[in-house]
Amino acid sequence: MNVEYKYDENLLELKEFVNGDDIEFLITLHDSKLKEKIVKVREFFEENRVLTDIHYYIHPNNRYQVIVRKDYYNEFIIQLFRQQLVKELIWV
Amino acid sequence: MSTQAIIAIGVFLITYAFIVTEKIHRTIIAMAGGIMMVLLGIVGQEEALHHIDFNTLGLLTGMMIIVAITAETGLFKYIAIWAAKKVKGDPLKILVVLAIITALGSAFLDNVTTVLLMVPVTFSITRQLRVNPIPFLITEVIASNIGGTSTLIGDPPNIMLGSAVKELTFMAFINNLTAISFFILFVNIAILAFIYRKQLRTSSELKANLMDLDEKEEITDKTLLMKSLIALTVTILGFFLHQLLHIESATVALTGAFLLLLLTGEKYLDKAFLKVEWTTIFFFIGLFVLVSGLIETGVISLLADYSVHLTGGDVTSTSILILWVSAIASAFIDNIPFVATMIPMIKDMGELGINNLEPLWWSLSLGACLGGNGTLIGASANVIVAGLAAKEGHSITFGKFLLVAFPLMILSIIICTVYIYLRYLV
Repeated sequence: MNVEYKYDENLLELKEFVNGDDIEFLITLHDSKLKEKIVKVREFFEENRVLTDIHYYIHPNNRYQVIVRKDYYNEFIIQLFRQQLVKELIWV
Repeated sequence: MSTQAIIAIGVFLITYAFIVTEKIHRTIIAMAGGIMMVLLGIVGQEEALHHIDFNTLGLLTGMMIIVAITAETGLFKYIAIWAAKKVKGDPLKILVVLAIITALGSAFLDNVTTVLLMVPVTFSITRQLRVNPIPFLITEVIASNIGGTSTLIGDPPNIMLGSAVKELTFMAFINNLTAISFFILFVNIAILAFIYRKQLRTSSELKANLMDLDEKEEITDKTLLMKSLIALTVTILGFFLHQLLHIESATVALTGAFLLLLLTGEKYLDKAFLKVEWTTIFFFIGLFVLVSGLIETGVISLLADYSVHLTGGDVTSTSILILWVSAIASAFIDNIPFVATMIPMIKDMGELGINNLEPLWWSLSLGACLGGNGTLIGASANVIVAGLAAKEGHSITFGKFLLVAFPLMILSIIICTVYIYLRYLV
């Protein structure tokens, strides 16, 4: 099963597209206070000892590029939800 | 030869065979071998403890603590991205700069630690540029082993040598090995860059994306970074001055480590101690006791006697023999037990009439450290990187590595032969 998600557009902007075999997310935070939450998402994946599950790149002006391996897509969205960066999750 | 000596050789060879086959973890085997030496009465417990080199163990532990805490700051990711941007995101140039960073890191940190810090950021950069990470990983492994050769603290064989021979100080390693190591490094990088040049191409759009990265954001804790840099500076300064200050290298490393813990507080104590590779520390303890069995029963003296007889006590032939035997042996077996066996043997050669031991020590260091580049199993860093790469779906096979690395290792040893001959033997 896959997940579909909704987020608060006042807080952030989230774009998703295909990058080779992976899925790429471009996240722009409208509120700097949310940085801490996205760092926690990164830390979650850094602790699991898989090096290529997500690739996390920081760009200026609170823009984040995250390349997510297909088999970690659901986990990534769930972690965004856990940090309240995504406000609604639906299994489809 | 006494019965005790024959038993000691038996225990040593069985242990060595198990270490080479890697069927059981090397730490368990080395400790079992060491314990057997004591249980069979080859060495007493007090004698065994006397043979454990606590300077080597202290140096390793201290550096592991410093690195464990410093790694938390994001410093290594910052450096790698900063360097990649400095070369405008060009993959070929990134291969070169990451190799140089790895070599510099390995000169002051443990090789395995350095590659463990470099591999994640390498995957990250190569994924961003959509280039094959394998050329980068192979180059970094080779650079790590060469960089480790350049200082007393860079590679376990050097730590053991510096600890066993008073004259081989931190500055002695800098004066004798750093320049030649970096010369060999640049020759290796140039050849690897030429071999892999066609695989290292990317689009200008992806380069631009990399150039847009904000490396400063990678620093997660600026206060911790400052404290880590203070401790690292004190430690490195300490290594440069340890001979002048009449303190051992282990004291320097442990001072740095506990200064850092003093600055950071209890918060990092457990974390830092958890990251100390206790398996490596106990591997050393087992080996020291194992080799003590050979020393105490006179086997090492016999081997030294035989080697001197073989070379006629000539310094030139003995040096070249040690260099090449160390290199070939280290390409296939762990260089730590090899060096642990060779150190007392070379000391005995001194007592058997070879007056100038200096070229022999440097030959052993260069051979044992650079020999590790010969095969995928030649050094711990190689095995670790290959394992990580395979787990992530990028297989570095034994053959693939051998094809590239073995000729480079032979070339490195040829350069060392010329260096040893011209600098110490003419």
